[in-house]
Amino acid sequence: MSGAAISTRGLVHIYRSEGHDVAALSGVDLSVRSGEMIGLLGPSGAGKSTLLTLLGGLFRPSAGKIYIGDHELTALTVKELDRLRAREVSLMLQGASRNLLPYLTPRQNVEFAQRAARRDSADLPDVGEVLDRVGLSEYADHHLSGLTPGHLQLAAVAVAIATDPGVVLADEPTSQLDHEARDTVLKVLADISAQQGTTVVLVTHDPQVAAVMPRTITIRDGRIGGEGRAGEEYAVVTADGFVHLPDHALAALPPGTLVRVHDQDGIYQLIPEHEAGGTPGATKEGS
Amino acid sequence: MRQALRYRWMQGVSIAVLAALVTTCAVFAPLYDRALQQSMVRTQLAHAPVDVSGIRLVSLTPDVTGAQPLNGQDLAALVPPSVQRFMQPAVTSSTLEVGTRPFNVAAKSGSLVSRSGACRHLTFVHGRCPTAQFDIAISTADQHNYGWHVGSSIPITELVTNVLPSKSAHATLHVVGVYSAHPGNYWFKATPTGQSGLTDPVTSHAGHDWWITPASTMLAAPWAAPVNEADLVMRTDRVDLDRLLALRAPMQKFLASPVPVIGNGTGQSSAYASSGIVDLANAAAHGRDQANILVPLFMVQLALLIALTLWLVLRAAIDQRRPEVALARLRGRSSAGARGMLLAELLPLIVVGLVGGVAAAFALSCAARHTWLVAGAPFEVRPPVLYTALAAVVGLIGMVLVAAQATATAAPAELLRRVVPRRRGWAMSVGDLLVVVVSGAAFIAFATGSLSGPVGTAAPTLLALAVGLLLAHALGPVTALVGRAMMRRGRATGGLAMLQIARRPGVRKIIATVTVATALLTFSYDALAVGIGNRTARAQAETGAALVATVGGTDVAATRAALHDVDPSGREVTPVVQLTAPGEQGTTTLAVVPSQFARIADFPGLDPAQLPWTRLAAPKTPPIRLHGTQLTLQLASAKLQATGPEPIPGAGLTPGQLQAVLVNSESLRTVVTLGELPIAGSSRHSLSVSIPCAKGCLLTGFQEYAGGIHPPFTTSATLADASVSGHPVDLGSAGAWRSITAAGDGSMTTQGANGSLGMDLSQSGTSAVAIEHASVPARIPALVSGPLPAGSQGNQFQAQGLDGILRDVTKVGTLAYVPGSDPDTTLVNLDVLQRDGAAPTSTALVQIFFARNDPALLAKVSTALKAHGQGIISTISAAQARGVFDRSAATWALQLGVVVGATAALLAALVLLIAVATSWRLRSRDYAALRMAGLRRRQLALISVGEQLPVVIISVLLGVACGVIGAHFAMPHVPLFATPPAIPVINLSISWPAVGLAGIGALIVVGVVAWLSGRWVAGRAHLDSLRETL
Repeated sequence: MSGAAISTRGLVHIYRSEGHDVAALSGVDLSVRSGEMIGLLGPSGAGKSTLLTLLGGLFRPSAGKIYIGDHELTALTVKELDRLRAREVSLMLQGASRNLLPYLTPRQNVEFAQRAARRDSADLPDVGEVLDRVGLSEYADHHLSGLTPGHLQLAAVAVAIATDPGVVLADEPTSQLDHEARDTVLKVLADISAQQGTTVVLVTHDPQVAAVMPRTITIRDGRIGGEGRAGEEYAVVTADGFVHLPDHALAALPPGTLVRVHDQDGIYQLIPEHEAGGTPGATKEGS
Repeated sequence: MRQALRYRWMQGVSIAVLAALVTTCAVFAPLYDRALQQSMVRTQLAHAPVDVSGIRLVSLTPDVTGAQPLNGQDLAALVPPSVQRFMQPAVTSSTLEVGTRPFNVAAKSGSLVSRSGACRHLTFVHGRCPTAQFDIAISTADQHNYGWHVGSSIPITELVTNVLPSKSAHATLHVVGVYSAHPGNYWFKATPTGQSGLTDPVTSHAGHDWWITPASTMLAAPWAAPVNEADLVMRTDRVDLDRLLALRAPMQKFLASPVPVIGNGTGQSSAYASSGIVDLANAAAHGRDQANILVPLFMVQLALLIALTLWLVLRAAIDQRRPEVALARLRGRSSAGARGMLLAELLPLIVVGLVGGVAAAFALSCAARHTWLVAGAPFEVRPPVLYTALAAVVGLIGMVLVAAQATATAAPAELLRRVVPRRRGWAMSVGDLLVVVVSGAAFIAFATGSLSGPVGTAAPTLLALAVGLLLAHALGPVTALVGRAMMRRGRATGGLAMLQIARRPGVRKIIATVTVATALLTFSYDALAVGIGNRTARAQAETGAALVATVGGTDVAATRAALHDVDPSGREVTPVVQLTAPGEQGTTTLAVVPSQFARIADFPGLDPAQLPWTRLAAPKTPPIRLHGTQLTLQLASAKLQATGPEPIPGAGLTPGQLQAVLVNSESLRTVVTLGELPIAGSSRHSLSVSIPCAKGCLLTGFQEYAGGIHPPFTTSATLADASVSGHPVDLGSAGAWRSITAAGDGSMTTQGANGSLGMDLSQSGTSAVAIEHASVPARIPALVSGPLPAGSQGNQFQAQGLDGILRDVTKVGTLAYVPGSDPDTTLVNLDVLQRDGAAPTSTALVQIFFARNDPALLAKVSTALKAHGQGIISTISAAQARGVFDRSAATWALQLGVVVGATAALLAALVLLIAVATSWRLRSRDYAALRMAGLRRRQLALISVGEQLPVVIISVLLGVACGVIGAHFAMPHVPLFATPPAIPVINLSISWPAVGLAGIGALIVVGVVAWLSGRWVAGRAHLDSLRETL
């Protein structure tokens, strides 16, 4: 299956727990092209994993819409969501072991992952081929307890791509791995994206991982706070006009600072109130 | 799936074993129940006397029409065919009572018997089987005692009531054989031998054994009173429970309907039938009903306990599979697919358990039939077995489906949570609350009496379930509070253990199970011990002593003499005479030697030393003892003076007879005439009369007997200078004598001085007037069990004397019961009862109570009795009586308590192991983290053990308490016997040794498992387990 585009519009998700409402996402607009590979960045609790699970159809958002390919997730029935997860969207949980049945070999785990799709008579890749893609053919029939963490993560990747899905959503796939293993996993995911056209959304904390991503999205406080492309960081203007200041600008303009937005021939400046008429403390340029 | 099973093989084995146990309980219950009932019937039939399980038809000639009784074949034909098919061919017999001629005091009397097939059941020591008319075979005892031998001719006469022997039919019999009899059912409980050499105390004739003769002898003479019988022995091998119950209706009809009176040409004969088959069937039905309640109740409780355990294990197992189900849902599997994944792994285990459980139930049933129950009870798979097996299948599969439902239908995101969400604090789930409320309410209903019946045996389980669930829910918050408090005080080890209990549901889940298991164990063992105690007590109380022998005949004196020869001190054997009141209103009189009886008889539940035996003592006035053969005395008498008209013309006064009443050494009354009371003029003369007192006598009274019909009169007499064989005899003061003449018949009063005894007589009836010495009690003191008989006034009433005639009795104390006797018994002193010299009635039952069941002692007593012309006809020991109770449906059902209790204890341990098996990975990681935080291995071990041990100890103690409280309410509803004891010996008090044993056993089993498993988990707290593991 070729990759599927991802798009969210005004995505809001609120967790309700023991009388407290916590807004995990507060209007996320995101577009990922088919076959694209992006990294989701952000501090803990920013809403990365929530966004990932919403994209995986595990939760229904409190508000907003999610499009995966031709499907609007919020409109799908439970059965249709099951079918979507069986074939088109694959979610890799954080920690290799959470993606694998501990008593099965890598081959059997891939077979297990294909079972629901096979019931729908889907055209599925050969298990050996899947394992070959991740470079785990040699260990196809090994017991999981005999594999290294890197191999286990590769096995988890193999399980994630077992049905040749259009979208792979990977939550911290390189955590707890050494550099070599991390690079291997990233390469495998990049190869899959490049060769199969699979859309890959990868959540990471690791700056080195983020650095090799062609595109990164930074989530802050439940909003998209920035985007990086080819090493360049951008602030993102959201649909409601919100712009998240970069850290260095935030240091100069602490919360509560009143600013005046000054348009000077297409260059927008933020002028703090106490400096009104003086030299701008910080500027934000946009087009 | 195979890999999954291999990966969690211990869990799989646990589930399969628990499923097997549930199935075993379900299937074993009806199998055991049925086998138990069949065993009960087999035991009943095996131990029932042949005349109870069989049918005896008797025909005799009740009138004087000269009619002949029905012959044996005609009698047998009266039995309904539906009954006959379960009976052996009838043994027919004809019996005559005969005596040797001349029929004088030296004559021998006994039975002449013609019995079909008799010679096959005899061994001929000499001669042959009699085949010709008037030929007989005699017993070896007859040959030995009377010198008859092969070739002897014995002239006999038929003995018929109200017909002089000289007028009866007679014949001469020829001895052609000398036999010894094979014991067996053939004789239908009769004893061909055993009478030879015994003397009938009434007729004084020596008895002979059966003389066996052919049927032709019975046809040869016009015998007046032959008794024809047909004896049908039950084919017990053909009769099982169903057939016995099927026999009840036709037998009831047969016995209730009058046997047709059949004319036989010369008159009419009738017949009657006797059998205990209906009673046996009723007892079997009662036993079946008891078993039908007890067995399922025990097994259902155990099955529920196991099912509860299985439920917890299944829930834990399914919780453990949540991540796997989450993965399946993540990869597109639907709810149905997730359910299928769970069922694919769990259902095969259940199926294996079902098959194994059925096999185990069959094996267990076979083992029970060959160990506990009577060997040979058939193995039957009846519809209830199929129903319960089906119920097990449906129940177990349903349990798996329900247990899997929540996880299978949970949202994938919910399944992905690492920790299963659970209620915090004191909140309970609706299901648990419902169970607590229902079980608590049911228990309270039992406790308050709103509910009753054998179903009350579930009380301990219900109570334990409610208490266990409450504790399980309360323990979390409580241990959290305690743990935090301990942590604040710096007691890290204990505090952490408490907090672990609070945060971990697995350990708390075992509380309810361990509590219920221990309660069931406690109750089962208490019920078992109480059952054993009560069976023993009842056997002892109903038997009376370790061994009780019944003596043939009623010769109390000879029996006492024989016992004195064997045991002069009366510490090993003692005589007991039982006089059963005719009808249902009177009380039984039990005459005993109090000091011996107190030592030898069994008084379960009573302390014989504390009973008021001294109140049964003889009057304080010493008896007047005569020892010699010649009584001399001076008799001065006034003439008889008429005080009224002649009752009929010519019926004038005749001289009266003054008689002395003596009681000889054999305690029999003898009357000796001393002299005449003249009708003309006074007289004074010396008397010398022979008295039968060479071995000693007691002078108990004087009486005047005028004889015939005469007018009322008065007179007086004075006795003085009494002596026996030259030894003076003190007749005592006048106050030592009392009149015993019935009001209206006259009176006899005494006055005396200077060694003489004066008597004023006034006779107005035809009976003798008499005085009795004060050494003979006017009212016999008695200890009484049960209510006094009708007609009693205060403590005074009447009870049977040795001769069967009512005596005045005073109740001097109360007994809860009298060993070996009826519930309503008057216990008297045999010596006192014998003071009046009454001869024992023919219905008196003479018994010997033995202090111990010792065959050697029994043999010595038998020999001594034989030397005094007596013999033992039957024995019963307390152990035998206990054995009968042991082989009852109620007992066999209670024995299940052993299995139930042991299984419950093992189950408690298993639950603990399962809890450990399902949580050790998580726990060991926690401990590894604590170790990394600086705790030592020893502390970790203490935390791990402390997380389990206090919980199981509290659970066991609570379980024991619930078992005890439950038993208190449940035991009254538990049938301990097939029939309730008439004697009040039931003691349902808690058996503390059994409770202690159960509690300690449970503590040891689960305590050791908790200790070892706790240490094992702590030992696996390796630091490398903190990294991500599979």
